[in-house]
Amino acid sequence: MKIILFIITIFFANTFAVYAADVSVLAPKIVKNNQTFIVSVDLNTDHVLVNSFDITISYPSDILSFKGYKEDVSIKKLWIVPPTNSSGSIHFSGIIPGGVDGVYDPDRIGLQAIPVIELIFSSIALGNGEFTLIHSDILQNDGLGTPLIHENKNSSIVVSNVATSTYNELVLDKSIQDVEPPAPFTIQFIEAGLFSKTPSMIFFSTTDNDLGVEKYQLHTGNIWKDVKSPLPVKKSIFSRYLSIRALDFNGNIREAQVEIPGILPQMYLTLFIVVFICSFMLFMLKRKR
Amino acid sequence: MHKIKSIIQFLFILFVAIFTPISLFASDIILNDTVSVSATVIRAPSATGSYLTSVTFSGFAYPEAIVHLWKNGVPQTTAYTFSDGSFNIRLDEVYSPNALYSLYAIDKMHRRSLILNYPIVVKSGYLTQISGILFAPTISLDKTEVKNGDYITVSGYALPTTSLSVVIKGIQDKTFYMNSNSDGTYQLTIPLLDFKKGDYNIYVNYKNSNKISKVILFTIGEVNILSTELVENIPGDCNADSIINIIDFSVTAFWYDRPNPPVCVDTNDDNIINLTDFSILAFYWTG
Repeated sequence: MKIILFIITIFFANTFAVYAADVSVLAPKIVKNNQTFIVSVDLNTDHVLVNSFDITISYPSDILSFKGYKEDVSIKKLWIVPPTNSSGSIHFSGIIPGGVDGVYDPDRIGLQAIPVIELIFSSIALGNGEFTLIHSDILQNDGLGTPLIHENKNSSIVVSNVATSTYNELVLDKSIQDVEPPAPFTIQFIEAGLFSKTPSMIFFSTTDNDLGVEKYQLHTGNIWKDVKSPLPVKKSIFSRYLSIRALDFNGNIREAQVEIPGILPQMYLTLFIVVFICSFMLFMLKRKR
Repeated sequence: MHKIKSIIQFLFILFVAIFTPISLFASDIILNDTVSVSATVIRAPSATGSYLTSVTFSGFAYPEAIVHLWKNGVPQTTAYTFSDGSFNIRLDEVYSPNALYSLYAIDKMHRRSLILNYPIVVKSGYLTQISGILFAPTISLDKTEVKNGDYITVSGYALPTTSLSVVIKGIQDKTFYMNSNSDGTYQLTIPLLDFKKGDYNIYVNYKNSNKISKVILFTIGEVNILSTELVENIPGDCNADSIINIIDFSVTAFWYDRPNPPVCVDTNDDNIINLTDFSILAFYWTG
């Protein structure tokens, strides 16, 4: 009898288990049409150090339009995949080097949830829908990449003519007028080792405080082509410059350049030109005589 | 009567089981940590009457070590620790809703600790105190490969005369206990007679603390291969400069989801670069 009771107890305990850690999507409950608002993605780790995340959120694309993302109040991170919008879902992935277990806010008791990102949406039609975490991997900062067991907390939204919402602080007074370009950035050239399988490449990354960086482009020929960091580059005989530009979600541009060293040093190019000019002059002189 | 008692007992157990979240069991382990981090604010008037905005960090590293403080990935200041391993750093600040402070310590033998991060909301006109910081011990091995049946020596710096656990994990797991010396050094020579051939991880932590040192990989094989210049054998460090930074991140990012990655990038040897490899890289990050 006691064994049966024990088994039943364990079964119920597991059925009703509440994970202490969670990923939550926080959105205003009701918004008006043509209103811009923030959807916050927070991570509560229950005091466990975590250092990487891979999250996909679906949103009702029939009533909402994705406008960009804000990073100014979220945790500092390196993007593996920056927020990418694809047919009603947003995917992003990144690392927090060294790991974090929460945010220390003197105004609040205890560790606060980690603000991973703030997504910006605009309502385009009346209706209702849900922000659903369709995939979320959170890994611990333990040197092994152990997954953090957590639960997902979704959020629903209604686009209505009468908007009285909880989480009003997420609704913006007006749409974000992003006129500032992304922050200035540098491009780092990473040279391949002599017997390395990894090619030489360039690494670039920047931020945009208003709507976020949408994409990067490389100037090649006379056109700008979409590229991702890190970008493999081939060394040519002599050094050359490459231009990369970052575009935010409003089309503002920030450009940066990097010198890709050549196989031969610049000195050889100068020497070659000097020798060529001298030879040409000598040839012309001989011809005159 | 007996039946009613059983039913009441069952209902009580059921009630406790349902309303006791798993987190309580998990936090039992975490709460064993004897040191905690707290953020407090004190109104700190300056000589001119205005209020200063600053952040202080205090805690323990190793005797006569150097503690480095970074903000948002940029070096800010350093401080020497006292003979008991304690340190205190103060940084004048401005308001910031999401400042990420990172600290690491370098011991007298130039071994580097792991990074400790503190994301803080810095309030204007207040002194924010982060106290009770504890760095896990530093660690190095005398060999990267040990001949089957031979010895391996693990050494490093910790707080003076403190209980340490040396943990070996692999085909077999084993934990050894020891105390650090009064100058903070520790050294333990471990006979590997009982261990089978294969790859093992080793790390050190304080007794009753969940913070661990760097995890070092070593192999039990056919020959002894000595570690030269305190080689740390860091996973993901393809250019072998003992630094894990944006260069190593770029190399890992290049191989993300690509076939046949190089061995040095594939930190967990599963022949694919995914989030786990990035997580391992982030653990060893030095900046």
